[in-house]
Amino acid sequence: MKKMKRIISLLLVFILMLSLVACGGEKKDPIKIGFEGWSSGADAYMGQVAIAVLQDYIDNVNANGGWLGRQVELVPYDISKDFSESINATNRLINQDKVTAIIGPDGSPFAIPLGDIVENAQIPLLPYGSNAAVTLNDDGSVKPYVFRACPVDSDSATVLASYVYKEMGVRRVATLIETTNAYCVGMGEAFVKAFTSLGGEIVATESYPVEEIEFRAQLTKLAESKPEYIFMPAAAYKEVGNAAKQLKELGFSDNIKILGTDGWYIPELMGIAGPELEGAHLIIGADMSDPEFADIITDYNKKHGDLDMELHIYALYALNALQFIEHAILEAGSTEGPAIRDALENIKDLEVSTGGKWTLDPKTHNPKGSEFSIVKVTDSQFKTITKYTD
Amino acid sequence: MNIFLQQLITGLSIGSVYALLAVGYALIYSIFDFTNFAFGALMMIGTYAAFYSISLVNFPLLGAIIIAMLITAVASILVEILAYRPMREKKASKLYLMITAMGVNIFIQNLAIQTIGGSVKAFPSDWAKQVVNFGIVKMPRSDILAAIISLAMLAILWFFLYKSRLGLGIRASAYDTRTAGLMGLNVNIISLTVFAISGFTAGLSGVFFGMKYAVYPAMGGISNKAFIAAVIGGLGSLPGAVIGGIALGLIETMVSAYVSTTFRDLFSYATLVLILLFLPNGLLGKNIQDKL
Repeated sequence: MKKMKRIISLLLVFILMLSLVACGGEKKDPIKIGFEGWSSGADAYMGQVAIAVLQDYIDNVNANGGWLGRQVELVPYDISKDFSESINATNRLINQDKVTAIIGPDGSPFAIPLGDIVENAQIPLLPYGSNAAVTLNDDGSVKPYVFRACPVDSDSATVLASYVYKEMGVRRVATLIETTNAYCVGMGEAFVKAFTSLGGEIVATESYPVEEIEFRAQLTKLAESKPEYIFMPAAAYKEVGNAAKQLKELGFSDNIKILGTDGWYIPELMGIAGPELEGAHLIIGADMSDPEFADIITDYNKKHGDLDMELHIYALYALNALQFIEHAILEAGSTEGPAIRDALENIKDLEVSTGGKWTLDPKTHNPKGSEFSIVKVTDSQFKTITKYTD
Repeated sequence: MNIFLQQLITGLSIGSVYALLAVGYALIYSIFDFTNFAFGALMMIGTYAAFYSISLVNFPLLGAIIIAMLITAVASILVEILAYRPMREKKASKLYLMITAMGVNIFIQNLAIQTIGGSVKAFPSDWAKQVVNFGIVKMPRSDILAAIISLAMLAILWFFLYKSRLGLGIRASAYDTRTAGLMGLNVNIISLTVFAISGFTAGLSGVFFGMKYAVYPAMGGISNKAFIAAVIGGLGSLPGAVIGGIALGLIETMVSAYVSTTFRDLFSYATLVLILLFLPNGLLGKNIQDKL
């Protein structure tokens, strides 16, 4: 009996010690940051490159002592191309992983339904590459826990319209728009509105559904109305590659060039349809060939050359989101959702990875202060011609 | 008129890729009464085989096409031996075979993304990109080559099925697999031959698809359209598959051109439903029930 007691007391001491260890661990729990991106399927480069860049940044933060004395951990989820997946991933990140904030998703249709979920959970969500409805409700009120980590898309389409009308003297433009993507539709509307109000003419309008590969029917029709340019604000670059190749096959590419937005500003596109896109113009939030990005690109290629995917602007928008979160957590001195939210809303002149100093507008949760670059495809390369603001 | 002709050519060239893929579906369906949904992934394997044999080993285009067909045939046979045959031997329901096929499809596609990456690449053939000008209409060489080789492939297939002993065996099995087995036909050899042939067609259409559009792991998605084409033509019927494929390509292009792109899939699927309503076995399908 005595022996039994001794064993039990020893066991109890052991359990007590274990629980002490657990307590000690709890204090140093890492700060978890969720990430939602397309990491499989045809557009896996969107998420996989972003994860690599975010993880590098976090490794660096952790090597320097973390945030508020705690280590940082990235919890990435693949939402592929299914709209319901972003809702599942958000619920999982909030309820199971107990993240402090969420970066992504990287497409408007994925981000728009998440406003209520993150508001109820009081977890800030920072999507990027997105249209106006991502941060605003239908009545124009702002979604309290959603903050955009990239320029609002309609801004760039408006600036592009003014550039092509005023600087290039273009008067006749046709549009080719993916109707299943809010980004593309938003860009199209903003461009048409700005271009026609300047006095330009939209001579024809065509559309295509998600994952389209065949554009010849639409291109043949558009070419009939003799536009100078076709505005194609595609969200994925293979669509533009196919459209440009088919435009050339049909023999229209000498007279009709393509206009676009940052959705297809991906260096790999030049490998697919560089010669066919010769003379195309697009507007982007940041220019990856600018010397200011040389260091980060070299560093990325050294560490992640084996991914066989080039560093792109969307990965840097994800990094902007992480920098917003870092700034807000350090400012607030807390990892509580409401405190981070307030700190995010008050961000002013924060230097971000894409260059420039960004200020978040509390009324729209959109960043201000981004410069736009006009890029022209020359000799199968994206070349920046000029920086332009309306 | 010129524009109509150009749209017609476009429709035919899309239809020919659908037709080739649909033949692969029809062939397997006619023997095994199930739809090999792993077809898209096999097609993707073919494209990458051609892609790498040109970009890494500097093969000429025709050599790359042959390599692609061979490698896809091997992959097709492997899928049969590793996945389908064990299930058939355990007398699994046809429904589960189809679900396995879908699983194989997603598995191969994701394996490709994880090993070779998800990025989109251009098919490395400058020859195929050149556009030939016929005066009224313009066609890229890749389309002309695709049309010629597809027709040749279909002709060879017809000769093989109707003029050779093995072809006779395949047709007998297609009529009734069990009875053919009881009559002394080696059903295993026949099944390997059928999977090899459908691998050839998948590899071939994969190369054409890569040449026409681009090379990426999710490209197999187009095989869903080919499946629709095979159903319209009558599942299991080879001429039906060809007709269905070309009809679908034409319908899609003409609707895009003269109605609206947003209505394109609406028309394609409405055609499917209407044909099945009035001709439950498709245009040229066999009238046998209880097929999945």
